[in-house]
Amino acid sequence: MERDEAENADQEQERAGVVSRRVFLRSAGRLGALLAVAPAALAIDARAQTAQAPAGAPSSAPTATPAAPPLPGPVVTNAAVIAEKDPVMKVLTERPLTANATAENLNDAVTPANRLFIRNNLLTPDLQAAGHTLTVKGLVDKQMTLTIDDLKSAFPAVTVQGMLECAGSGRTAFSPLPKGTPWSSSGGYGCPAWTGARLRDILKAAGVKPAAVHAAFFGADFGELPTAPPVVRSIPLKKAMEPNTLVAWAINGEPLPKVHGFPLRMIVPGWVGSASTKWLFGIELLDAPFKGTYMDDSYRVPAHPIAPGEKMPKESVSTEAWPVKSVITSPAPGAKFKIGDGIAVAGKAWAGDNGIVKVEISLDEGITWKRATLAKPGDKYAWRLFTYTARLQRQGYVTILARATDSKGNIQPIAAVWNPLGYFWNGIHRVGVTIEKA
Amino acid sequence: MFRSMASWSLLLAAGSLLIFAPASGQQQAEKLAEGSGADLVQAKCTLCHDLGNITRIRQSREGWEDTIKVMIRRGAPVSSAEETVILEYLTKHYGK
Repeated sequence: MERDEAENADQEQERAGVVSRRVFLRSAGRLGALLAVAPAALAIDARAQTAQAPAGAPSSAPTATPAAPPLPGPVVTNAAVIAEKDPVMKVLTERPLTANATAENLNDAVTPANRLFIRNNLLTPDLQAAGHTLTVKGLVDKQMTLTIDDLKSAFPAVTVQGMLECAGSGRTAFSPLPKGTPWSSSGGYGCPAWTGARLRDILKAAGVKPAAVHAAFFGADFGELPTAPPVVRSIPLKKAMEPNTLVAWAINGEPLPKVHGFPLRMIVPGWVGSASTKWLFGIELLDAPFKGTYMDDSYRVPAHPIAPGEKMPKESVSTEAWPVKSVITSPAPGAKFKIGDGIAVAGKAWAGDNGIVKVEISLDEGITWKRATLAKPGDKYAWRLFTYTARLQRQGYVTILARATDSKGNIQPIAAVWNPLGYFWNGIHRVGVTIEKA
Repeated sequence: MFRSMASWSLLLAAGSLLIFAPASGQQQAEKLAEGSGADLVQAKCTLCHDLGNITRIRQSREGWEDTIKVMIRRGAPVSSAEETVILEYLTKHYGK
């Protein structure tokens, strides 16, 4: 079960902070014959080493530390990213860039790209499609390097609508507030339609060796410091072979925006967003989960629940599929109605790898619940739309609650189990509105 | 099937620059509390991330110790002497 020495050496270099793409590609060259387009891979390698950073790099020397070395490649500035986004998007952090739209701005059945949340760990690399390649290596029979055109011509292209949700989505609903991106209590997710090749088709073409149990994904993003390790995440082979797990090049029929992974990204729908590596250039099949700070320090929850505010216990598990969750997208918080009005309540429900079987609405803080109408199910990992018409014969403030039940019988809780990194917020969503005299 | 977003993006680009400017309250919250070690925290931690990642939370000494170790694994150029100064500062001003 030991990995070979070259791979161990590479991973140690990665832990030491060597830029991931150089390491990954050098290793690819040493470990086996590339089937195609080695020159393109080398071109990327060369660019990674020589390109200068345009705007976005520090422009004046910091006072307390030496000037930062040049970035390994061009980056897209936050201003350029944001210019392509809808004004309803709220920036949560600028370094790294994170932004979300809240539930009342997510009424579209298919989330538009310009309202999809942004979660970078590092900078937004300014990649080009021409010359970009994907190398598949590790526990495969034949290592492959494919251009985007190769991917499009060699494998059937599929389009699936699927949930993408940051593990920390909704984090600010937790109390006490855990560390991490301060996602709005109703933000940090979206459900666009993705087009790409099935990862399983690519892996079958490469030939999966029996010892493979995890697939690791390598993104071409880099940090401001050369010491910043790459963001590498791996998922179990079973999920990698799931037919909805894609190597995607399009969102809603358009090329991926740069901040969302142009020209290529993973889509692991229903699972924590970090599995859906952006700027994908490498896939490695491993005999164990990838070892690195983004596997071992982040995206973990306690194996057994702990008291709110306690630190992460020694026994913890990696985050995978999202639990059952729903949000009310309409009405918006603070909306005003008249007594007897038909209030059109609408929203979305989803449940990781499971389906949705029921959504209920309460207008009395959960004392009584009424069934909402579910739209027909769509793609397996798409959210399920629900609607309900509420009528109130009294005036004053009222809170609308929604709770979903999944196909395994799991019901959304009042509040999610607190955990130190603030993952998996799926507490019942509440929207307050006011009923005025007719 | 999907409407094009291009024209919307152009129309909205100018407006979004204003909307995306951080609120003044947010900027105030992202100033470090004064005290011994503040300069070092400012210099090292903002090499990669906003100060808000620090100022909006409260952690025990153990919690901050863990956070600093993770940040070093993420490439923070911090010596062990600096680690101590940073830990003391964060525990004192952002502890619980």
